[in-house]
Amino acid sequence: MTSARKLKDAPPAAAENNNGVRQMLSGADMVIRSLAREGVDLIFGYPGGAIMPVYDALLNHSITHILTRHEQGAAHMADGYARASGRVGVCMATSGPGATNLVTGLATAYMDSVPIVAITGQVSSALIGTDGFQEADAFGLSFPITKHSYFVSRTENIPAVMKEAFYIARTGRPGPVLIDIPKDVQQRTALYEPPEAPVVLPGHFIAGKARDEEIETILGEIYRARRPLLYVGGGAITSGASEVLRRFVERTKIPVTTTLMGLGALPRYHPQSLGMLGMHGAVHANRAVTDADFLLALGARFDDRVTGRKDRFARNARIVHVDIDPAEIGKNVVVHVGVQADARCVLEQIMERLETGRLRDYGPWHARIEAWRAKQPLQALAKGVKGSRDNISPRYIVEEIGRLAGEEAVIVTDVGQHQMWAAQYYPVTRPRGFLTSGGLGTMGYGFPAAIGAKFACPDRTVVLIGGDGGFQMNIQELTTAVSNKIHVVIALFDNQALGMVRQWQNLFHDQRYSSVDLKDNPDFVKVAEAFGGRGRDVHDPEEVTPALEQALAARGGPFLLRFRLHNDENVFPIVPAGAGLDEAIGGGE
Amino acid sequence: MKRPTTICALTENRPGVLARIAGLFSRRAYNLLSVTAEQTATPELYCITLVVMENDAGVEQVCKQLWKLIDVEQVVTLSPRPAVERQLVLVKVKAPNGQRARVREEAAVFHANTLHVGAETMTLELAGDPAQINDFLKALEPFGVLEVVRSGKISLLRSDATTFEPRRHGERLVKL
Ligand SMILES: Cc1cc2nc3c(=O)[nH]c(=O)nc-3n(C[C@H](O)[C@H](O)[C@H](O)COP(=O)(O)OP(=O)(O)OC[C@H]3O[C@@H](n4cnc5c(N)ncnc54)[C@H](O)[C@@H]3O)c2cc1C
Ligand SMILES: Cc1ncc(C[n+]2csc(CCOP(=O)(O)OP(=O)(O)O)c2C)c(N)n1
Repeated sequence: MTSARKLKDAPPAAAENNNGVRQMLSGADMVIRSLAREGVDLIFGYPGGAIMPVYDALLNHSITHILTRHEQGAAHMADGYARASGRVGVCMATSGPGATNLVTGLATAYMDSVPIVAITGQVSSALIGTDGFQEADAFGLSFPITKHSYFVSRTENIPAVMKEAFYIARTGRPGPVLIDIPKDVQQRTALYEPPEAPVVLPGHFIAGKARDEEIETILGEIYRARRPLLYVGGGAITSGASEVLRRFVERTKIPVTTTLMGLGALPRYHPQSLGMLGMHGAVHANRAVTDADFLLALGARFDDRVTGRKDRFARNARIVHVDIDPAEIGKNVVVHVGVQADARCVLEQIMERLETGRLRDYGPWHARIEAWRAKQPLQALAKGVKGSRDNISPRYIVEEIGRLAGEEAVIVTDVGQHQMWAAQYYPVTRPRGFLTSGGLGTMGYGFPAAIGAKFACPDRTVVLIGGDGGFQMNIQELTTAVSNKIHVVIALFDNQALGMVRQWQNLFHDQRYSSVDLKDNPDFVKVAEAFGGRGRDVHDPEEVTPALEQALAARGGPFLLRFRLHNDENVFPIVPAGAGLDEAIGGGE
Repeated sequence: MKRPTTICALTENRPGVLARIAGLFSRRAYNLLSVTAEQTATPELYCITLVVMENDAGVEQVCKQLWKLIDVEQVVTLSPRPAVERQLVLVKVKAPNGQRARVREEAAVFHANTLHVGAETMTLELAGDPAQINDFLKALEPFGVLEVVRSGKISLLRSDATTFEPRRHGERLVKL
């Protein structure tokens, strides 16, 4: 870290002073110059033989490099940075094991449509294909887990490739892009020509507005509906649709349910917000899906964790699907109308033409939903139930974090039961305020992503809600947080079990517990302290508030709170795999 | 209902295009019957002809997923439209002295070419649509077929229209 900080004070290199002028540069310098042109000032990475020229070139530039303690950490940090800020995150690694260590991070970003550019060194051109030292086919490995990838065989191509890579990563449906560059291509010098021309990708269409007739069709469906429902996903957040979504909902009074990835598109306690649908969704939200006569899906991809049994999903509804990616339309569920367009554009177009006088009366529909909501367990369970010694209620902890962290906070979760409790109870108020690995469900994602989010938003409070299992998968990044004075509150839900798997064994495998016991957990507080951070053990529910207050007020490094939970606590409601959304168990009815 | 459908993809000649397409088929478990990839009249563009065994929804998904690949410029489904289709077969049949003339006659019926005549065998070539080729191979069976190689199918629209549209960009390609 110290070296990264020192770089900031280094005088700008000659190359930067005459930015834009044609000159001879090494490939490595071109990489850095291209990053600067894209406005990148921070990258996460880990060096090694095949990427050393780029690391050397970094010393001449003002871009800050954060040395992580594992390449997976670098990829997740770039991801957390991107999700929190909406900008492209950048990570870098060497060939072979460096590149393979990025794989999980890239796959995670790909499944959740997160813009990342990953740069990997490759063995020199002459060694390629010879099973050279630390040779792995990063380009080939990237195909199923990136939006696009490049193998750069000529130095002079680097500027154009880098420009295209950033363009592809951030436009349309965002996603990770990998650039693999052999060492000799980084070393060689060539004439540097700044790529001024706009990126041209024939056949690559990026949807914006919908056609007028499509808007008319959607409006017609809306006017006809008596029980309409909006099903909002991560695409609404990508497109920046929150503001217009709120206006639309307040004008029409159409209720909204969001996916896990859509949390924050509408504030949690907005009167029209039903919370999350799906496997662990609220009963009233899932009921509404089943009973709706019109479903407008906005930037959501009908994931199986959302639909449950497909033939029972929204079986009474006409479905309109707005998605920027046509391949999502009709992929999982047959829809009546598909519109390839940007979610925000479509809502704005609808708002321009909407005649509220033509909307039906939703009174009975609202009443029906409110009746379900009154019976539903999410609040009932939470209210007043704090738990007991070493058996603190996870719902209570989540609600306390929500109360104390403030509306501006960024909440990052890992994967498991704690993730679902966070999704069910955290009062998310804004887009990009809730970051989680939804599509791949990558344990170990949360902590490095939280560090990346803090780098992106240094003025915001960042809280990781993590599990004792997943935290140990990237625990080494405590060093990165400590040495960069990254204040992340680590709310560790220590139930001494791989809770989510244990829950399934509890419910669906006759309580035959197989390899889910984590009784041998380390003393996490001591671990945090050994790394140079701080920590506090929390055994009693009464301690939750003061401990959170202490951790949130702390500055200058990570603060770990080890909340002691009982391993028998399960996440409810749950729609068993293969069941319909209206067949949840633990729905409190 | 699943049936064979011909899909033509116009792609940039960039490294990895074919591997990406092959990967798409295995990753998404689409049923692929044949692939042919060759340069077009524009050297930086390749035409990849795929024959898939899918129902209508499957074909639509294949097309959309292909189109999503950055290197793919255009995707056209031929099958419901009239198209000319050709496949090439090379076949080695037993043709000892006494049988050679009869093999030659059979080849002539199908307008097949003789590529090689050996002491015991003949190697024949036929370009035709897949059904014709099947008939041809059946007709040769009695002589003793030793080896068969078939190319993938290639295809163009049977009309004045070109299969692919002139190079363009920034347009919505997949109709919904
Ligand atoms: C343990 C666990 C449990 C889970 N349980 C649930 C659950 O109960 N409920 C739940 O909802 N999820 C749950 N998930 C998450 C689930 O697996 C999926 O990740 C999630 O449902 C997908 O969210 P999404 O449909 O919003 O799609 P995303 O993955 O966010 O995809 C975004 C969609 O929007 C489109 N898009 C992107 N940009 C735009 C734009 N500008 N305009 C229009 N469209 C755009 C994309 O093409 C894509 O189709 C769970 C995950 C885990 C790990
Ligand atoms: C890398 C990875 N390996 C395995 C899994 C399967 N898995 C999903 S949740 C879970 C248990 C998580 O345990 P923990 O981190 O303690 O969180 P909890 O569920 O107890 O809150 C496991 C093993 C996964 N999602 N990711």
